[in-house]
Amino acid sequence: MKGLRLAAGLAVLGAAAWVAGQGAQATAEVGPVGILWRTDLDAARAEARKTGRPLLAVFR
Amino acid sequence: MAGVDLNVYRFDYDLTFAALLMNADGTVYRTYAGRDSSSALSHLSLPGFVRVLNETLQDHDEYVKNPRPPRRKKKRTIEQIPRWAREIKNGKARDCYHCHMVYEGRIEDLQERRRWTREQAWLWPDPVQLGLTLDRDDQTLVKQVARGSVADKAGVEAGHHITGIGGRSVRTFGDVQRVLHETSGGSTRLALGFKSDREAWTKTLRLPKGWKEPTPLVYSWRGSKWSLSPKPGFGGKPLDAAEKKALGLPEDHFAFRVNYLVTWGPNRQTGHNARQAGIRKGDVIFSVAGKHDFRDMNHYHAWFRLTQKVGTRVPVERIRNGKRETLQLKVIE
Repeated sequence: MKGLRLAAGLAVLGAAAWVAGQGAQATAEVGPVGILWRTDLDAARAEARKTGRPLLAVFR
Repeated sequence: MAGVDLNVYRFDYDLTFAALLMNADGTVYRTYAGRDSSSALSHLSLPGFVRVLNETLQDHDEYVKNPRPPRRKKKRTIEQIPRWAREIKNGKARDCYHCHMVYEGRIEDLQERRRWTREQAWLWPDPVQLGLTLDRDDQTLVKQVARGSVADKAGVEAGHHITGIGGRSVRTFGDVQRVLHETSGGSTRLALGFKSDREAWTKTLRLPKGWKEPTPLVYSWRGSKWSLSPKPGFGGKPLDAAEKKALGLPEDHFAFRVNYLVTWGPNRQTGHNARQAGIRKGDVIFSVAGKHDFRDMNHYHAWFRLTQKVGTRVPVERIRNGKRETLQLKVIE
């Protein structure tokens, strides 16, 4: 369940549904499928709080 | 896991993949995670994940109408676990902490403080502890009920859809595990909600004391098993069919060639103990305590740790230079 396969699944949901955050060390932000995707989990949570969207926290 | 708040992001840290579907206030709607001993991906599928993501959007819409934020707890991180805090204090801070290191640190800390009990290893119980096998794509669907299990005795049948456990809504394998994780391991009752197209009903399961304890095979995939004692002090590589045939071993007989003895690090006493028993690199081990039906090396290591008693001796059968011999391995802490 890595990279492209995961991104493909998220794309099905459309761009605006989720804020995704990854429990990892990197701090760079990426947007693989137009979904808000941050590798900084705290930033993703703050974004979810601000926008009222649900948070998808991924640990891998 | 560096800096991740363990009081907010709670999941089975032995896993190599886990997705928490949450509200920013810390409420976990769904846990999409889980596996068994066959593969790290055994319970994950793209259709299943997409299904849960879509359904959880509805959960989110409902929740925001009447939010019930969880009580805020003080932030707790892996760096605060004494095992890792000591490393940091000694100038050995790591750039990366893997999820499994949460349990590794916890177990070793509890063992050092003599507060470790075996029951603490029964984390995030698999629904098979109730006798339930769930479908991979629709994880509310009961695919199989083990005969004689607590679910079977309560009248649960394959084809039923679980809607809740212990009064909590579930949509995933991980949701079920979360409730089981928080349920007492003692004798207790657990209500399961079910539904079909036409009706909804409840079944009450009677769980006996110790219901969380898995078989060594069910437990075997967990990385945290490496922290458990007693340890055999040696391991190796399973023999393939041709190698077994050459040694006159049946094809369905598990055997492995020793390629390491743990003679280094904090557990080096276990490797020296194995050496003292006569085990050497290159030996072929084809039975331990008469058991030769291990599925893989993980199963062997989990079985040893969960079943062997410190202070006893366990017969180990090996082949060296074509000669079979039984050694007596002392089981040590």
